[in-house]
Amino acid sequence: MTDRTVPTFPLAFWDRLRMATDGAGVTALVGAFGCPLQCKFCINPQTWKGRTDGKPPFIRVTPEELYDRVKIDNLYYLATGGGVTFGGGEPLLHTDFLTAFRAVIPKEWHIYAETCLHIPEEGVRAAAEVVDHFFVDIKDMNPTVYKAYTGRNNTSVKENLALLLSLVGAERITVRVPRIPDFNTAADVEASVDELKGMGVTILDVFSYKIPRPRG
Amino acid sequence: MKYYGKEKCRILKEIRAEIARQNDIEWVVSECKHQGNCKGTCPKCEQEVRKLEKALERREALGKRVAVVGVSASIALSVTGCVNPFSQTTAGTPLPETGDSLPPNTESESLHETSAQGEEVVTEMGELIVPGEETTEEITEFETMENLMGELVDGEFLEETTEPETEEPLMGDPVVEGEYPEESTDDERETALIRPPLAGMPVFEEDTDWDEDEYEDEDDSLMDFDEYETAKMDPIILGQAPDAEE
Repeated sequence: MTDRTVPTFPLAFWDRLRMATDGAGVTALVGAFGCPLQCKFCINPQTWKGRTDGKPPFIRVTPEELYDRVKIDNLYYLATGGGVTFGGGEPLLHTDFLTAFRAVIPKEWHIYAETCLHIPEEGVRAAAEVVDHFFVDIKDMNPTVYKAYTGRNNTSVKENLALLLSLVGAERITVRVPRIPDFNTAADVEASVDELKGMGVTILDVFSYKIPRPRG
Repeated sequence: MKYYGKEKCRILKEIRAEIARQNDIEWVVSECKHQGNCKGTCPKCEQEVRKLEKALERREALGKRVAVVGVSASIALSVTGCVNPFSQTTAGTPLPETGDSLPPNTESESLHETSAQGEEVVTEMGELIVPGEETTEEITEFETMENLMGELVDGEFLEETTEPETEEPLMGDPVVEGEYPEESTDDERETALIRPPLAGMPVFEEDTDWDEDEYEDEDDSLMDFDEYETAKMDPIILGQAPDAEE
């Protein structure tokens, strides 16, 4: 009989032995199904659109079940200061699971989260207690650009970022600012960086999307 | 920098060797003859890790000191500074399911600025390829590389690779088979199946942790892509200041 008091995680995919992309050390990337945004160039659209091969898009796992999967690389996590990175989709929609997962894993493991921060405030507060480092994909600080690209407004995102900065400090947050062709410009990116610095963000990654164009 | 192929294998080998060294475990490192790319999960690497784990367990059972935590921190890869921050959420990949990122295909420039606080880091890391309607040949090449999941793709393994016997999702693969809670209802099953998203709404289970109604955006008029395409033709729309929030 399923214990419905145990939080579960909608596992869409997971990937082993990640290095240098999702947190310090060797990490496992665990992807959640479901996202409040609908980004035009989403890297993992199957986490909100569903799969194209007709298979169910996720399975639900308990904290123990997820631990049983990722612990295969425990030695690497311990040796390198790595751990588990939650992404997706939007993993911070499942902070009760993250809290329970933290209680299950070795204390030496780190938990990282890749998030858009378009989540309820209580999710931010809960995540601040268990996540060691946040990677925030801010898209663009301009509300018009943000709305055009994601389909949502970013008021709550900015508020959540400010709250997160106050809860965990800038050293535990990396904000990613993408140049998105057809949606923002270099000037927009620069403006976003300036606004983020003004909020107190100190670690920023600026990068560009390259959209493959049809040949011919 | 994302680590591919033999480079990842080399790093993992170094980590294992360092653990053995720190624990006085006799460790003979043999060269892996696998040709081509590898995710570090080939049978040889897996076998070495399991051997190392057993050796550490024996050491601990004998009451000897076991040092693992942080012993390879110097080999560990930092995400700040000059390291590529690409992640699966923003990294481009021709196979969305793998969630892997592609290396930048232009020269990357690193910009480091020091703020008054002395700790500010702004890094430009080149370009990121995202899925498009059509992929280029270059992306197709990476697509092949990123199919690796311990299976034979290019080259040879030292030991025959066997498929996992369980129904567990393959590492790096999206969930292959759906599992439903023992007492899932028809509604839950229907929810878990793929269905076209409602207009403007993402597809995810109803029983998320948050109350969607409570969290609904003030402005429900989501701009879908068709609207954006129209709006894009009018520069005034994109450039106008946002309406003041109530």
